[in-house]
Amino acid sequence: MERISRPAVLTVLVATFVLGQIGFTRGEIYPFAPWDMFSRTPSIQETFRIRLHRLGERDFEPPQYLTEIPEFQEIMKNPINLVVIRKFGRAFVDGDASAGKLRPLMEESLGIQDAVYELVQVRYDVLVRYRTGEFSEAPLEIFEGSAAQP
Amino acid sequence: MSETPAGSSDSRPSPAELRWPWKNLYFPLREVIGELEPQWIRASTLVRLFYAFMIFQAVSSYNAWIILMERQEAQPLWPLFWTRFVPWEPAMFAIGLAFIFGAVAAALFPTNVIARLAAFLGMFLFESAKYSFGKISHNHHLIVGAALILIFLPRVVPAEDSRERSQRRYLEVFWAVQAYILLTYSMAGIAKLHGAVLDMLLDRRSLLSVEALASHIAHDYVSRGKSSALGMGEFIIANPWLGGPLFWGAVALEFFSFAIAWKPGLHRLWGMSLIGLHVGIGVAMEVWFRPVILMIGIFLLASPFAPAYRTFSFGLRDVPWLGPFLCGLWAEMRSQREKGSSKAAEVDHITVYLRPGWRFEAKIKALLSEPESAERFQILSMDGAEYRSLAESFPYLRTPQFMVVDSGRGESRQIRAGAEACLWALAHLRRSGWRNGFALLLIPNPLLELALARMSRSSPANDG
Repeated sequence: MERISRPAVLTVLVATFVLGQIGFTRGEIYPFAPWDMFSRTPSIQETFRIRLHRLGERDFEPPQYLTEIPEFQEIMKNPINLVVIRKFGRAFVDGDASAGKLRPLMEESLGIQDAVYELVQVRYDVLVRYRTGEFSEAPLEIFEGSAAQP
Repeated sequence: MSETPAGSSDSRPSPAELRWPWKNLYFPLREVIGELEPQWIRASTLVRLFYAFMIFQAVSSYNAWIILMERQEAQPLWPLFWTRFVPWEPAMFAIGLAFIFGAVAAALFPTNVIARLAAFLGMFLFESAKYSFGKISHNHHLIVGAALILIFLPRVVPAEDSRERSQRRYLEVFWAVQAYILLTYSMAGIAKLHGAVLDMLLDRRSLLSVEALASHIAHDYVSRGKSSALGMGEFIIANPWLGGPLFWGAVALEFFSFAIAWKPGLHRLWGMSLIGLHVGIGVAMEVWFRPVILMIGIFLLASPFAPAYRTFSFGLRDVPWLGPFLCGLWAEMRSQREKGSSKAAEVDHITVYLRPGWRFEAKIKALLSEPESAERFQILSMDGAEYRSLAESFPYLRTPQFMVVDSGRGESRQIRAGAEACLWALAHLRRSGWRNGFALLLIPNPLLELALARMSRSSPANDG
């Protein structure tokens, strides 16, 4: 071990940097993260939200965003769920095949397998939105959760 | 670089290291590794603490383990490619067991490479499973990375002849974990600067805007529909001018982190600053990296390489880029305040050794002999008996040097060599310390170090 310790740890350090930089553009190669959190300053944001029309037997009229429904507020505080929604929304808009795989994963993460929900694209300036609440929205598609389908 | 009397002959650069300057950038870490025995004892205790922390992580992951076994619809990361061929639930059961037993084995037998390998594999596979559902979070990356590096810890043998060598290798591996942790912060700093350039090119709000931090916090609050318990985030959004400088300071802290791996005098200060950064993020945005805070605590706050005693100015000089300037400014302030006092006399005890024939010898001599500084510096040749005596106590000095500074007395005594000695002496010129420091501010330290090292090697005086 003494003989290989130097080249081995040097290799790990170099791999951490090189694979991290590659992951910056091509997606993370676990466990070599690109460490790019907070790297882009938010200004005009285009993101995706989920609006519920029905959950089990319960109808939402008018439809409500998950963040507005008390039992979903804890779930929506988890940044992992936000990323999953964003990834699904982006894949759906781009017509990417991964949308089909991400959808059941998102439904399971959010606990909306038996819901009828709507994918909505929203656009806003973060500071304006925080201060005034203003944002624009564009409904994209209404889905039935895997357990809600007949 | 500061050195303590109990160095090791292993610190001499090999012919290959002299031929390839880049090797000097990493090994043999002359600035970091000093007294082998006490540093090794501290490092090996911290390694045991790290594996105890892994047990804590494994036990804390119990609920996640149960959920993992129940979950469906995984998109396995590459380390779990094999789960396509076996049922998910038993695979997750086995991985969870491997995690806890690996951590326990390494905590009990940290000198056993198989135990350390098991600890790494257990946590690596468990975390891979956790991140196989569409999102990789980064709370535990540092633990996995550290466990990977620590696999390569050598066994320190009691035999006299190879003990020093194996202790040095042990400390190098420990140092590599510190460097790894700090590198991830520098990568975060680089990513932010890269992002700032992109934002500016796209004519968007960027890192340079005073509203940058306010925007991040507002984005987080809007996305997650929440706010901070103490109202700090709301305060920054309402007063963006306060958040801007805070954010720039945080980016500088991250960007320069990797350089701190070579500055043991700043390990504790930098570690505390990084913890402060995480506490700030946590309070403002409710995003907590708790395991990361403990990792910084173990490997940087408790760094075995950090000197036990360090004056403020000696810590200041290590600050990347700004160090010589700040140090010069501090020296100037001290000289004004303590003129004539006994304390000033103690700091004024500075002996400078110069290698005859070094290309900057005459220039440095002239600068240090200015009327206001001459009384402070004693300039001696490296050919003299005084330097030979010094080199007896500090084995590192037996390797070719072009300039060495011996300053302070007693516990505050510091030996600096090479470019650092040059910068330090110039920054301590009494009359124009801060101005010289300001000029040096324009030159990145590592570049100056390399340039001076190259010059000194090409000097005929050093050929022998």
